[in-house]
Amino acid sequence: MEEESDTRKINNSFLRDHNYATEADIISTVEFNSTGELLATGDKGGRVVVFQREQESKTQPHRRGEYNVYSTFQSHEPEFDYLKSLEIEEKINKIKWLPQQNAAYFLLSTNDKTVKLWKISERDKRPEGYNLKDEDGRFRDPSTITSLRVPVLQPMDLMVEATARRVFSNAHTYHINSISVNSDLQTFISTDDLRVNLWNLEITDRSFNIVDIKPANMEELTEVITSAEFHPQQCHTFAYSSSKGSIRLCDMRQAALCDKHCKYFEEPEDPSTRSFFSEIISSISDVKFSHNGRYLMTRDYLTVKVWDLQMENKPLETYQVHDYLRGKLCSLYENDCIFDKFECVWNGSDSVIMTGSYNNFFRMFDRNTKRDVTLEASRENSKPRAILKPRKVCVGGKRRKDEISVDSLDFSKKILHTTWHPQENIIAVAATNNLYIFQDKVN
Amino acid sequence: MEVNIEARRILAVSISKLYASRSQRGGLRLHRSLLLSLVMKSARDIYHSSRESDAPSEAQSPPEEPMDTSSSPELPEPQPEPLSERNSSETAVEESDSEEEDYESDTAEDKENLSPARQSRKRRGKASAAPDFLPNKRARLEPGEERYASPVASCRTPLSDLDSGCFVVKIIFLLLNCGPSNVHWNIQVIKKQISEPATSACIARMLRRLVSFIHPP
Repeated sequence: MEEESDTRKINNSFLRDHNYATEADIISTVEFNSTGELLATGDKGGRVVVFQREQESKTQPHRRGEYNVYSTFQSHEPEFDYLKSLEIEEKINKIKWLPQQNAAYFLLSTNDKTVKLWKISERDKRPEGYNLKDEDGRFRDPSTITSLRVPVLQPMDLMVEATARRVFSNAHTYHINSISVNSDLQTFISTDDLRVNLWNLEITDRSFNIVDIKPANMEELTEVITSAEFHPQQCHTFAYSSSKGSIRLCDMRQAALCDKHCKYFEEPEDPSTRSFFSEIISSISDVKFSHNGRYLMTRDYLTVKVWDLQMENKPLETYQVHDYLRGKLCSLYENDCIFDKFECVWNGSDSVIMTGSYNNFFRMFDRNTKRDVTLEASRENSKPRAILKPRKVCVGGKRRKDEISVDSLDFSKKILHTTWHPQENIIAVAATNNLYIFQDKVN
Repeated sequence: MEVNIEARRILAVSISKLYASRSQRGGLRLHRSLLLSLVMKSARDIYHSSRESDAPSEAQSPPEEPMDTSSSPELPEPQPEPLSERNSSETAVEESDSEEEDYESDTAEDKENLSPARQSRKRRGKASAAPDFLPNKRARLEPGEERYASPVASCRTPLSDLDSGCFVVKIIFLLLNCGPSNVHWNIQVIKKQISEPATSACIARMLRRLVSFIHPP
């Protein structure tokens, strides 16, 4: 797919000029809202930055729907658990938008332990003409008031404010890895390594545990939950992935505790590829339902798999993201890259899937044409309105021009988080502390 | 043998990672610890199978029940050191917060806690080559270590995540059970120590020892 690019950075200008990134600026999650009008990013410093798409205007057709900063707020602060002597990171692990029901926008953001519901609202009027207060807030002496007036709303500069409406805390012993809003728009789940909890958006002091895979004896622990998501249409169905490479589909109508799955998706391991690191690379880092609810996509270290919900014994499609890394697993283990958790994402029509890789590469796979492309998110290659050139990694001996060899890949530049506009071909890609937004070519 | 060397190296790297993960922000990550332990188990299994294929005649070990994450919690039966006198001097003070750490509950199959009289005190010969990253000498309790059982009021901080800490110690067990007859660690003592909520200091000490054995100065 040809693309034109429109680069946005969320560093402040000091960092941009000095070309280094603090760890707090590293983007840890990106998410479009359900209309694609808003794009939220969370970072390691606990901040959420929301971008809003400009209205398309006839006078400036080339500034077609660019995203500009709409709101920035500190969602989570670092905390300290005194009982366990444990520092709780403020890093935002996931953001999920609620569909818009009124003028305000709502999103859920979570760190390792606490989920918060934020309301983002605009204020463009303020009341003026109080009787007992001056315009600058000082109180007027009542004895000086001779007549009464009714305060009126006057326009003011647009102010976007974010307020925390709910805080869902103290429900997770382990680290929260995902949240998912139910299609009923009343409940959501939060998932940690061993448990899935169901919350009502209105109730913060209680949650229901619906999955618990903690063994009676922790020595017998063999797998942990890595991600969970509600079905996009069926409010009683959700899926969770495990570190063993399996996915379980559960129906909440069956029992209060959904330890028994109703479907179990797993592909038997190929014994010829067994190595020291087989368990690590088979651990699923992300699971996503397709928009139509018929398919599941999973990402493990080297592949993306699309599963048909009706077929449990093997995936429908398997795509190799960066198979050239298979021979380098030992080095990737040593530099910790093998533990990286890549996300994957569907496009709006479920025909294309996308996921990230190293060297700021990201890959797209067209499920219909079976074509795939590797693109790079880098400042040098992304001038505004430039078309992204497909990249290629050379695995053999002879390296052609424009190809990059496996040994030259920069493993510190990884794209873990990506998101796709729900209707249009607009993608947002987080490369460490930079956010890239790419749009389809306009004719 | 290359596989052997590779397995040892991976084991060493894994232990270093586990050790380093103790100090990372946010505490021990269960998923990461689990994956590290699985890699160590693979490396250990390959290391042993390659050693056994090297020296089949020297196999004197009782069949080793693999202490892996999926098996029951019973420990294989190494030749424990006659250290019951040390055991008695320790008193369990810190109460377990969670029942998962109550190792004492594994009674019927827990060979570790057989009375000393029934255990053979005879150390098997050293002809079966010790993995050379384990100590040859018996690891003696340092004087300070007997105080693991000292009152809660002592200065140690509890492990950040008790269950993850449990996990870390299980990994130590995996390694301690490397060689069938060459385990010179005070397994009984260590097991007793971890029946209480394991403390950071305790695990740190054990890990430092393991690391130093693998990377001798």
